[in-house]
Amino acid sequence: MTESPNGRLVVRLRGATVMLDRFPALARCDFDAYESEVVFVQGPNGSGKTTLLRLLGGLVEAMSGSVLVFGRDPKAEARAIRREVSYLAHSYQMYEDLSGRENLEFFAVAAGCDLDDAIEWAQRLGLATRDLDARFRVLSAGQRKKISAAIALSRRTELLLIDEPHALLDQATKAILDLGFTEAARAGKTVIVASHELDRISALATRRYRMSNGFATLVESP
Amino acid sequence: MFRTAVAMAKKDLRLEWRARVLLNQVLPFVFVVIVLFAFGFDAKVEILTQVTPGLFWVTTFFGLELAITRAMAIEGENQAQVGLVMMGVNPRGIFLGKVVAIVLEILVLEVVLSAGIAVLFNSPLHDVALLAASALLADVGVATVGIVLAGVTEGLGGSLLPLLLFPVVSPVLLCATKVWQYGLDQTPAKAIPWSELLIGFSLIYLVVGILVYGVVLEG
Amino acid sequence: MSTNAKLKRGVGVAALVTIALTFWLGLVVTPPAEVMGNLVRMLYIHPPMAWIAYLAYGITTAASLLYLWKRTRRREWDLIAAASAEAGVFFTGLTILTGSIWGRPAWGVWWTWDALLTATAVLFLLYLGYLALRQVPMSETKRGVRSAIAALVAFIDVPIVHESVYWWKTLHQTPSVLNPSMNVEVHGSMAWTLLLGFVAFTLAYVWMVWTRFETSRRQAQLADLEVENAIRERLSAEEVRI
Repeated sequence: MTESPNGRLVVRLRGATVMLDRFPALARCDFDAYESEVVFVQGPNGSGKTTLLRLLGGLVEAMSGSVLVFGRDPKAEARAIRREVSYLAHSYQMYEDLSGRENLEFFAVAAGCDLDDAIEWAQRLGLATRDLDARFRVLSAGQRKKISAAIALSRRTELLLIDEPHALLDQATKAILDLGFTEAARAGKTVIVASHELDRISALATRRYRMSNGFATLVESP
Repeated sequence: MFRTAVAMAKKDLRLEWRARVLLNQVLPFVFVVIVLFAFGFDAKVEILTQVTPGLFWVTTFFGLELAITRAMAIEGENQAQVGLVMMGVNPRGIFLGKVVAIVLEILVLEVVLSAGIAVLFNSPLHDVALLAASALLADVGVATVGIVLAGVTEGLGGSLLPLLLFPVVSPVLLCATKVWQYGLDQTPAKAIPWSELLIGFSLIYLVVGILVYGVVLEG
Repeated sequence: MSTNAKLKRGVGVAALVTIALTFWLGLVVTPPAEVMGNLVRMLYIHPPMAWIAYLAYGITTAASLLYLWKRTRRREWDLIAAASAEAGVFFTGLTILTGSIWGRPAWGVWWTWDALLTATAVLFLLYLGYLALRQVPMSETKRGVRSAIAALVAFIDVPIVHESVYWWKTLHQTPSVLNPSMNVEVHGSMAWTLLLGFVAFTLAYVWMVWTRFETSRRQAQLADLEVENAIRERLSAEEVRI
């Protein structure tokens, strides 16, 4: 793994092309992320941000180019890498007829992470006990997002892939979430946040990319 | 693997208990079938008793297909399955948990169905242990193949699953019907080879499912 | 014309010639059999077709396994699996058809729920499902992986189906050429004609799979070119923006 003044290289993309059917969602894309960084990826809808995050999580495969996460190929060693990766996606990835708490309990057992941490995060993000015990189905979009975020943040992973975290959330929660991201980076983790607008996170980011047409341009690095 | 499987099965059963999708759809369907058969065969008890094994298993197969479809729909909602995959949850645990949940759900259906047949067709159930054991084996066989093929046809339209599933599990239908026929005729000795084939089928596909389900989830 | 294409054409011509020869020997030269009379002539094509069906599904399974195993994963295996399954379904259909034509005079019915017939019908359905799965539009790797698993599940089922329906009903004659003791019961010109039938249909199978494979590989390569264009287009849009 390459050492640099920025620390350990965690993600390295060179000329990565990802085809979604016949459409190049990523086109010969380069991208780097180091440990202890908050990386901000900004770009309009359809510029390839989500595909970039999914590629790093091994959910899609690069047709050409090289993709390394922790020095390994995320598609070939998907299960090993995913133990080190949290993914907060657009979709909630929770079960509608379980309560928030039951959802957290289930994922804690299935994924082998700490339930208390997850509940603590849910509370920190402003979920009342009443909301935690209500069925997921009846929660508002913002409350649902908080439960998904709680499990993503509580997993003890080294790389966090965050897709549009602030959509649907109120100001207070956005601030707590941002704090969570900076804390994580300070603890040596890497946080990659994608957003279509010039997000408040931009101010916290140490590295910034602008994406358009499936290509990432480095705008600022430490 | 087993911890995940247990959590998975508990979760699926709890979801079913709360949403009652299968309960509300499959149980009425069972009674509709019983009534239709009674109409179709002019309520002649001799004929109805004769066709009991076939009626039971054809109905159960449709019930199983619905249960499998539902088990996949649960994971499709909110893309929960992507969450499972991204958290590196053991695919073998997911597979086993799904199989267990489906088998338990369908056992409930089978109890109701056989009770309904026994009462309404006046067709006493003999060798209940044999019937129950073969039902369990057949359910496991169909559920394992079903979960794998449901993964293979996921997101490709609902009519593809029965098209792929029913030919593969057709030997199970044949074996289970035979075992039931001999059980009800009180000649259980004749059921032995058929039961062995059921055991073989279920075991083989259980192993295949455990081996390939990780690949299925990645595809 | 490349050596490859020449070879393929050679196989195609050989298949045509041997099939023609089989028909001539089978219909004109060989005598009617003692018991079966002219019905025996069906013997020269029916077992070879059934054999091809099994060969084809075997090849589909082998190619699918090679595709599933990541270290040997190549697009070509997937295309061979597909081409072979198509040929398999075609020959299974012909097997059922010729069997049915045989069954009418021999057994008095077009169709009967005999073990081999039923097993063949299930086989036909199994791979019809496989081909249906392949028809659904999806990305290349997705289709490859998913259909390879379906092929594997189907193939494992073949012996189980056979075992179960064999117990269920048995009416069909024991296969006359490949019976368990392996002694050939057909003699003289009839044996040679049958042997030629096997060779002819195997050649036809090879030619079919080969041709189908090459067509679909060209289609895939064409799609690759489109991919290159799509990438270039997307990147040039990027330059305009900058």
